[in-house]
Amino acid sequence: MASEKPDTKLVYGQNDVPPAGHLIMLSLQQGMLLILGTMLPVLLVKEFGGSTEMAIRMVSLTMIISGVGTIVQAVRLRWIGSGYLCPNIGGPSYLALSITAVVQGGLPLMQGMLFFAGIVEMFLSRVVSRLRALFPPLVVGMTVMMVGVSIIPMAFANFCGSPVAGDEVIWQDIVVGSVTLLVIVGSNLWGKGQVQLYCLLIGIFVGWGVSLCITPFDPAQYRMIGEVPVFAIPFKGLSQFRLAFDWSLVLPFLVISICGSLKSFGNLLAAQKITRPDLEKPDMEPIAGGLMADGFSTAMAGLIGAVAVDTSSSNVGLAAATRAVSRWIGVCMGVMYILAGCFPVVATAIALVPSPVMGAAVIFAICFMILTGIKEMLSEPLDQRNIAVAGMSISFGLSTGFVPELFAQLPSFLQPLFSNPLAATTILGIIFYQIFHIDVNLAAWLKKNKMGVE
Amino acid sequence: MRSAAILRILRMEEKPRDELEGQPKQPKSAKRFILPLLALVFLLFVTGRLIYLMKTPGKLYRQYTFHVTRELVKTVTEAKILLEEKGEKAFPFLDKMKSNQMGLYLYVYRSSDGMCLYHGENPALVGTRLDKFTDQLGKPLHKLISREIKNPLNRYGWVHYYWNRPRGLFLEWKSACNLGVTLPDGIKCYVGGGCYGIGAELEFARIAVINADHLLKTRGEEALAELLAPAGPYFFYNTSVFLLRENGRSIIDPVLKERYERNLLKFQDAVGHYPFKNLLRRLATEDEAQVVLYAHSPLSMNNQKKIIYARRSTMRGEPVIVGTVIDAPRSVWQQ
Repeated sequence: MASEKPDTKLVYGQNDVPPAGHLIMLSLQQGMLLILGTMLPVLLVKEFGGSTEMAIRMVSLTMIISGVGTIVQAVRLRWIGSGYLCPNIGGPSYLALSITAVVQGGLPLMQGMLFFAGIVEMFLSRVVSRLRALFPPLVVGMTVMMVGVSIIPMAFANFCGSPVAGDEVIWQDIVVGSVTLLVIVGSNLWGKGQVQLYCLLIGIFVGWGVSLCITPFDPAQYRMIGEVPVFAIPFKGLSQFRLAFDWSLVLPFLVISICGSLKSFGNLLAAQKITRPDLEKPDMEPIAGGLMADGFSTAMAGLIGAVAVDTSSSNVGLAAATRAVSRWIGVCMGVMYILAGCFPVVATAIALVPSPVMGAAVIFAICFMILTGIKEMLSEPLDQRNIAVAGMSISFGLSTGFVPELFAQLPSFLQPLFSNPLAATTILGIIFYQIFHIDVNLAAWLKKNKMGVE
Repeated sequence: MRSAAILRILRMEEKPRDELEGQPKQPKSAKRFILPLLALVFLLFVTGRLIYLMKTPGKLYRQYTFHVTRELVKTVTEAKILLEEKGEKAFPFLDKMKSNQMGLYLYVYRSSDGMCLYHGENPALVGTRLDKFTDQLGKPLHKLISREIKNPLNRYGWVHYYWNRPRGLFLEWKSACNLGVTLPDGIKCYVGGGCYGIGAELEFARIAVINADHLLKTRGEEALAELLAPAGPYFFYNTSVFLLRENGRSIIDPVLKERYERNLLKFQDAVGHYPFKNLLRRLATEDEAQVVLYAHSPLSMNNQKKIIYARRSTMRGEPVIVGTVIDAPRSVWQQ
C-alpha cells in the first residue's frame, strides 16, 4: 500500500553535486526553459529602431548577465545570494519603461535608470528580512500560486504558436504543443530514472522534431546560424558603461522595482518551499540574500547595457517537477549562459526552438508552481478569517487579469501594483491578513506585554 | 490507475515499488533497446527531413505578419498557376482551396469588363459584372484591382475595401490579394481572394507609402487630391497617408486626414515620446524609417501601440516626408 504521507524526497538536494553528465544535462534542461527571456532584447531594440548588430549584442549581454545572476543566486555568500536554484531571465516587467528611457535619452539613460532600480531592489532586500510577520504560510502560498497563474497567458499564447491578435491559430502549432506536453508529462509520470529526470529536455527535442516535420518551414531561419559570428565578445570599450539619469523617471522605475522585488520574493519563497519542504515558517535570511542578488543582477545589467533581469518562475516549477534542486545546477547553467553569450552561434541555434514547444514546457512548469502554492496555503488551518483573506485576495488579484479596464481608472502611480494578478494578490493578501487578524494580533500583543509587566 | 498516477505526481510522490512488483517482468534485453531504437529512428527521420527542407526553396512570404495573409497570398498564387495551366477546368479545384475557418474564398473576374467567371462563396454572381461596383466608401473595385495587378510597386495586387462579410451584419475592412492571369484560351482575367477582420499589415503601409511617394514625384501637388480621397487606394484600415515638410510642419495631417498645417515636432504621445521628431531624426540619415507611437486607450492600462512608417520623397523638387500610421500587431497575451 502506498504511504499516506506525501514523499517529497529530492533527487538532488540543495547542496548535492550531481555527477558531471547529469549536471550538464540538468543545466541544459534548465537553460532551455530560459530561452523565451533571451528574446526580450530583440523586442526592445525593435521598438526603438536599433540595428541588428545592436540586438545581437544585447542578447549576448543579457545572456551573460543572466548567467552571472544565476551563479550569484546559487552560490550563497555572506550577504548576497539565496543558495537556491532560482535562475535569472530577461525580465519583461521593465521592458516598457526601458523603451521610454531609450527614446527619451538613449541607451545611457536606460542603463542609468536600470542601475538605479537595481540599487533600490538591493535596498529593499534588507527591509524584507525584517518583515517576516507579514508573510504567514497563507500569504506565502498565495504568492507562489499567483507566480504560476501570472505566466499562464504567455504560456498558452506560446502553446498556440504565439499568434498576433486577430490572426488564425494553425493546427500544426497545436499538434506540436500537444505532442511536446504529452511527451513531457508522460516521461515525468511513467518514465523512470533518467527519462523522468530529463522529461523536459526529451519533450523539447521530440516537439522540435515534430515541428520540423509538419510546421511550414523557413530555411532562412536555420541559415541564420551560419550568418552570425561563431565567437564574439559583446563589449565595445568604456563607452558601454556610460550612465545617465533623469529625475522624471525615478517614480516609475521605483514602482517597477518594488513590483520586481515582489515577484522575485514569490519565486524565492517557492524555491525555498521546494528545496526545504520541512520548513514551517519562511527563512527570511536566504530570501533577503536572493533579493539582494536579484537587485545586483539588475544593477549590473544596467551597468553593461543589457536588459533588466529577473528570477524565472517557470524554472522554479521545473525544479519542483524533476525534484533536482541542486544549486550546482544553477552554477553550471550560469556558466553555460555566459559561454553562450560569447558564442552567438549557439544562442541563435537555441533561439530557434518553436514557440509551441516552449509554451508546453512552461505549462508543465506552471502546474508545479500552482500546486506548490496551494499546498503551502493549506498548511495553515482554513478558518473563517483565512478563508476571507485568501478568497478576497485571490478574487481581487484575478480580477486585474479578467477586467483590467476597471483598474485602468486608478491613479497612474498605483496602476503597476494592480497591473497583474501576482502583485495585486500579494499586496492585498498582506493587507487583508493583518486587518482580519487585528483582534487576534492585538490580544496576543497585550498578553505578551501584560506578562512582561507581571 | 491513471488518476492515481496523476495524483501521485501532484503530491510529488515516487511511484510505489509494490505497485510494480505485481506486474509481469519483461525481458530486460528488449526493454533496453526499444526506446533508444525509437529515438534513433525519430532522429534519423527528422535529420533527413531537415536536409530535404533546407534544399527545397519554399516561399513563406515573411514580409507578412499574419498567418492568414501568408496563406492568402500562397493560395492565390497557386490558383493563378492552376488557371494558367487548366483554364476554366480549374474552377472545381478552386472550390477545394476555400477555407471556412479563415473566411477565405477565391474569385475570378474578366479584366476587360469585370464579368464574374467564378465565385467561391456566391456562385449566383457568375455572369454578373463588377465594373460599376463600389464598396461602402465608394471605392470602384474593378477599376482599382485592374490598376493594382499591373502595378510593379504592389506585387500581389493588394486592394483594401470596406464591406460586410457574407452573412455578416457589420462593416469590416477586407484586404484582397489579386493576380493577373491569362487563361489558355487567351482571355485576360484576374484571380483573387480576401480575408476579413485581420489588422493592417506593415507591408500594406509600405505599399501605400511607396505608391504615394511615386505619385508625388510624378504629379507633384496634383497628387494631393488622390492621396486624400476616401474612395482611393490610400485610405485603408481607417488610416491614410500623411505628408510633412522637412521642418516638421504638416501638409496632410496624420490625425485629421486632410490638408492642415501644424508643427508636429512638438507632438507628444501618451508616454511622452516625440514620435515625429524621432522620425525626422531617423530620416535625416535613412530613406525610410518606422517609429513607434503610443496612443491613450481609456479602457486599458496599456496604451495602444501604433507604428509610423515613412519615407523621404519630393514634391515639385521640395523634399517632403510621406508616411502612414497603422495599429501595431500585438501578441494575444499582450492584449
